[in-house]
Amino acid sequence: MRNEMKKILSLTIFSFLFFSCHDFLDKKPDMKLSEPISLEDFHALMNEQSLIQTAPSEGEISAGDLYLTVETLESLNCETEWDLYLWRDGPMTQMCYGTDGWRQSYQAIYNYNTVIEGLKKYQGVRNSTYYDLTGEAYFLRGITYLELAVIFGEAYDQSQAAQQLGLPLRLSTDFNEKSIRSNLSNTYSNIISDLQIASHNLPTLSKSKMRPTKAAALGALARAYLFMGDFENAKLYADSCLISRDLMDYKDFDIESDYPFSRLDNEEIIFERYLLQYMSLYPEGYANVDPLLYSMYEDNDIRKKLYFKESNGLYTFKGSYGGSFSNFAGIAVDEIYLILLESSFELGEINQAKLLLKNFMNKRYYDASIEYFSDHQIYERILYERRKQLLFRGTRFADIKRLNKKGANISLKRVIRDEVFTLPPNDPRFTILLPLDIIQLSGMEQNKR
Amino acid sequence: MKIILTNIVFLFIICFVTEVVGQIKGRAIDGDTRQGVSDVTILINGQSKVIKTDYQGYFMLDLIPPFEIFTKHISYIDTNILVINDSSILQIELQHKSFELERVEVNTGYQSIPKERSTGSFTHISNERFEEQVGGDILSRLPAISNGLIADNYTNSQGRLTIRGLSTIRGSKEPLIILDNFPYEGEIRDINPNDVSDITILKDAAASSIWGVRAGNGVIVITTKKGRLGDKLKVNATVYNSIGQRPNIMMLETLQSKDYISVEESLFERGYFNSAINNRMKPPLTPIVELLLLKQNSLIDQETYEKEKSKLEHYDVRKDYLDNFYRPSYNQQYFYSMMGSGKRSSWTTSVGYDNNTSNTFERLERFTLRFQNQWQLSERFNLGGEIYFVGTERHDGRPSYGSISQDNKTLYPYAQFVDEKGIPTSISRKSNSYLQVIEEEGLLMDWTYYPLKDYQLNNGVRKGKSTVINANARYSIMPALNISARYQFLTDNRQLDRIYNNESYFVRNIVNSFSQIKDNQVEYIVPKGSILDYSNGIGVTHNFRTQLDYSKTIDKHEIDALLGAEVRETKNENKTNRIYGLNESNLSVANLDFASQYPNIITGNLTNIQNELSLASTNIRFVSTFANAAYSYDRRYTISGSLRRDATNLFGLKSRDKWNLLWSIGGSWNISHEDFFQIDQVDFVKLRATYGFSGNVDPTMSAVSTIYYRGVNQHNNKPYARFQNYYNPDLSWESISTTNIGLDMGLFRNKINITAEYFLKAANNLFGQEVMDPTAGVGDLIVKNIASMNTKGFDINILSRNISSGVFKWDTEWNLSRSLDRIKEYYLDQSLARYFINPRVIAGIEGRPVYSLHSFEYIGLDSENGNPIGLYQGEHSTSYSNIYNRSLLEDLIYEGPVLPVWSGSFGNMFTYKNVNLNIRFTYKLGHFFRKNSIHYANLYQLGKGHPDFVDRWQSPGDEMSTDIPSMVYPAISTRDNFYVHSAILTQKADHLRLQYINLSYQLNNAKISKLGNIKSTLFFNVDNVGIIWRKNKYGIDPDYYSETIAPPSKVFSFGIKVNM
Repeated sequence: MRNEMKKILSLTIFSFLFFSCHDFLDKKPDMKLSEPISLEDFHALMNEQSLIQTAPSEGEISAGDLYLTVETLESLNCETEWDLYLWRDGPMTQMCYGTDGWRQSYQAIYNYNTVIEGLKKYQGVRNSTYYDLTGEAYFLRGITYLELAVIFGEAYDQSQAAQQLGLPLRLSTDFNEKSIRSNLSNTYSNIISDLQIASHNLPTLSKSKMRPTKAAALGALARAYLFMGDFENAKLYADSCLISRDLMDYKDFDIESDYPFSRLDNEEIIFERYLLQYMSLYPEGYANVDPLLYSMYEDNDIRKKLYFKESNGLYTFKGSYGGSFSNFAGIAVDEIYLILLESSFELGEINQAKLLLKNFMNKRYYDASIEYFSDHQIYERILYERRKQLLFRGTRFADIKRLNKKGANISLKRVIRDEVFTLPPNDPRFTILLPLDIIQLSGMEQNKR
Repeated sequence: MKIILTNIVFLFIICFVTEVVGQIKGRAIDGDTRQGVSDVTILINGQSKVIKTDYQGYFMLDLIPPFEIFTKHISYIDTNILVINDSSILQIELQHKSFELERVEVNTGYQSIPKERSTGSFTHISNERFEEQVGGDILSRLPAISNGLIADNYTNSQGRLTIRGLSTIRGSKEPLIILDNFPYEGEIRDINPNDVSDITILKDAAASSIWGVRAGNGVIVITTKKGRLGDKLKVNATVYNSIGQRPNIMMLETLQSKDYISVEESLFERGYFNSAINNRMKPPLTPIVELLLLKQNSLIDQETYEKEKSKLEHYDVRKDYLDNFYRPSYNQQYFYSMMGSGKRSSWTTSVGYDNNTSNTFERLERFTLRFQNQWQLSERFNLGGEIYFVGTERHDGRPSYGSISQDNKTLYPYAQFVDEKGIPTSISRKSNSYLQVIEEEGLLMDWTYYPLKDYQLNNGVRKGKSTVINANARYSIMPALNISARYQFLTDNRQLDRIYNNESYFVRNIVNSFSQIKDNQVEYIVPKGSILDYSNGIGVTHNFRTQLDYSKTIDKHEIDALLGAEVRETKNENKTNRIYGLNESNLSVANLDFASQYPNIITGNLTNIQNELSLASTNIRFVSTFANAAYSYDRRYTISGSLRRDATNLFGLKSRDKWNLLWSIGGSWNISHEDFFQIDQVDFVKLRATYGFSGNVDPTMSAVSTIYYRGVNQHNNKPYARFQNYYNPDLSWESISTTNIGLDMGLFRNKINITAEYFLKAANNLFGQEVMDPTAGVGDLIVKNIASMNTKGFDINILSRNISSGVFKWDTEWNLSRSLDRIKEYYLDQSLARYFINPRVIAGIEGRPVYSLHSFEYIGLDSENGNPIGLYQGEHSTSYSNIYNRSLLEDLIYEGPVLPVWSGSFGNMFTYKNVNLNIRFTYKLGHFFRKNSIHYANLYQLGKGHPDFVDRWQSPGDEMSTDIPSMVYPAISTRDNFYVHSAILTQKADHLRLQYINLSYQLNNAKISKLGNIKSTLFFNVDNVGIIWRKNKYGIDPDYYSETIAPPSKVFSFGIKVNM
């Protein structure tokens, strides 16, 4: 009896030991789940289209290129959109389409930070994929901060930047860290440094326009320097970005086409990205082009037909480089070319500017001549072309701000059922308010009013 | 020693053994005290030969088995035993008559203990009570007949069961379901209720802590019917039919067609539809808008318009739904079972078949088959096995109300599915002008949608096959010590096949969208054939448990203890795919190019063909050790305790700190057994108290940042992943401590039995959603162990045998429960009011229930324009943006809890001769809900109307008679949101419901010599009889308040049960 007892007890104890075996509990509870540690994981974290391809669009709604009929405006049923369109200081909390530019961008930044941190700790072989991913993460973080900075920050002014309100720079994955707004100087220098790291790591070629290349980083740097008013660097980076790239000739496109460009064989696209889709920016039945803007296109301007479609006496934009109703906001040759143009002129290289402008206009007009333009006219024309070329690209709002800083005196005006809404030059409302709930939660400083 | 051994064997398997000798010695004993009972009348084989037991309960018989014994005694229940065995002493356990309802064994899934010896809180549902209801699944029968358990249809559309209120905030709120000793991972609703013997609900920690981390919400232990050694052959057959009324969808809140049309007219005039009309996506327009457009373009005149309009005004889509898509539900059930025992074994077998057709023509067939065997291989060794098979097949029915939409808008109320001549009509899903163009071009497939034809072209079948295999072995090492092992294996196979015929709208829509037209030639990118969606899921669960049981009585000391360990693993695998271009006649399929992008025929937008291929695999493992012990002295004092440790692979991807210790202690005192207790009216008093911990685990949580692979980015064919969880080093189990104090009483010769219990559940370390600064990048909310809450309440069960004399019997059962939860702490930074106004979303405010109803202060309507007036910063205000966006939590009115504070049931059971009548009421009290009303933005945008529109403010003076705001355009969604969340719409949810009536008639028992007694019962049952009383004056059933689903309708059942 005793022996039997012992046997059974030891058997029981043995089975207990067996149960607590650790391997048994190390099994993944869900095969689709993993801790992000491999290069494949990092790639996957930067491969969700909606996350990495979306740029904030709050600035575009406020920028004045968009024109909504009163009926359309009233049918929108989105207060955030009304407030943006009419430059009213609303709470900006109604996320009519699930998210807003701020949330969307910072969520993406968290992914980039995860990748950047993960790559720094990465133990494996540092092959080309490793450097590609490093470049991508820095590039995406840099360009996202740049897009946010031009919407929520003032125009960059080197002499005041240290006092101007910048973005909260979230550079680690520690989400318990408090959000504190940096100054604009720090914001931009972080953008520059991210993009520079990216340009050193990114490959020259990529299979897909969804994934950034070295040229994309150089283009983004050119854009950043332009917004900073640093024409020297803007020109430098635009130049190197455009090596062995040229403008497309718009004469080659079918002006009757519903969407003349196609994202797949658009040679000007360097990096694909689209504006966060607010209903008001949707050209089918909603977004029209400001009639004044439309009237700026001369009859010999190919874009007059290529870009626009008439609908009930108003014009909608069909020239998105993505070839659909999504508004292209990526890096493309035309924008970088225009940066090169503008900075060349600003640096006093008038002749080069003239040559570039001539080439540009040859590709955009049936016949165009700038032979007899004065220097000032050249400058006017450069800005004029920039205005007419980059529609719904997310750049106009930033352009108004930086040009007004130099005295361009651009003011915006809308009339809704006899009520007049204006946004005078350099009005504080050119910095869009952060959503009220975010201010409340984080205790961050709100934009000045 | 030998006597104790026999006792133990008797206790656990209740078998009877006799010896083959000329003379059989027998003894009648008290089932409780196990003392001999004298003066028991023993009748043999129905003969008149009468024997009485002696003073020690012994008696002698001169018979050779098999024979049947009947016993009679004034204070014990009559019993009959078939003696077939031939060993030792024939022992007959007699049960006290007075303890008839109290003497139940409660099964914790680890052991069966007599209820009066337990310290914890158990609700036992007898087979008799359980079978008063007909049809349905096992769980849906419980709320009406158990104590402290409710179905919550308000915050959970499935009618989630909660035991004693909530004990978690974010974690799973479902109780743990145990089927025959192990957690059941299959579909519990597929288990045949006829196979259920009885159910025990474990409510406090002493009862449930043995189930560890998954028992925090209480445990429901379901035990199936089993043959017992010594039982004679029993045959049961049950057949019934039931018919359920069509649900009353005509009472669902909607805007009358006439009013809807008037709204559309005014919107049209304001240009609201312009963007849709000019939209290149060619979105559909409603018939009225199409007509208005024709009128505007002078294609029809005013007169034609008015004529068409007046026709449409009289349609009601609810009627079309009712006429075409609804029918009375019809259920048929057949169940047949046998159980019996041989010399050393007992067995059960059952077969069940159900054929149900739902109100919307959904067909369900279920087949269940069960074999169960128990072998007594030797006096020490016992072996058992069981196989349970469930096969189900469900066929899709017709569209239910609200399921047909137009684009993403609610269907207009004047929609028609069939015209006056009986010809199916179409609901346009593209604008008419575009449909016309397609028709004229004749290139694409027809793009119209006919609801009445379309459901016939889609055929979905879901098949389920589950097999449960149970095996158990028990060996008696010493009389007091047993070792046992149990193993359960479950496979659960779920299969879905849904064919969309090539004629269906679904197929035509996809085919057309991808079609490419070049030079008047159509190239079909997606072939015209049928589409088949299929998925296949397999779940496999292994459970293995070893357990040592010790049970010994020495004089007045009784010890019961168990010690054990178990492992479990649940694997689930799922594969989903879609086949395009299927030819149903020869099963050929098409190859598609998922990687390329094609321009949409309408928008030109480049899109990929949806590839539905996906795989999933999960594997959840638990390892547990447990121990449980109880010691009783003189049946007066009992103390009990339990310990359990669990570990799982759920937390994190690496094993660390996975073990969790849960324990409980308890004690009871049988006051009525004390010498000093001398109250004549009180027969029995027991006081008991327990304290202990159980846990809760959220399987989606993990202690490291994890990403989840969602699919493939169609642009580059590479996978993408999203964050599933963010790194949280402090993540741990939720733990729930429960204090339970109970009093059991029997009064007036046990005519009245009362169980009253007070409980306090304190839940700590609860997962809660912490509001995050979205700038941090991890979203608006993050889950952490941040909250704690208390749930306090009591449960009372009163069973009263009002009349029990002669031919008439009347029993009453009353269940009353109170439970109210309060958040104790919740680290919430959020203070904006609008995050708290949805009562179905967890509020998380200290001092208030998890689900709380909060409203904006409502002042009244502005007499000039009918604008609703609210309060902002203490002042009357119509600045809705401020009220809605900037109001703070403290500006809101706290109305009360959303879940019932008081709940219970009230049942009366009448017996007159052969007729049995059961009537059961249920009630819920003390909670609140919010009435729906008109939300103009939703009306314009989503087509969602509400009858309140009719009574809206229209001209000055109306504010005296109505609280419903005027119609404004453009809609101000903050104005609407303020109004629909304002205090004016708050209603009390108190109600009393007649749940079921069950009438049964026992036919005269015919006696057929070969088969023994036949007992046949005819029964008639009405379920969901309806609400008897409600506090709100709108006729709303607060339990089933929905825009699209009517409250459950009456179900009438008629059937027969035959027992042999």
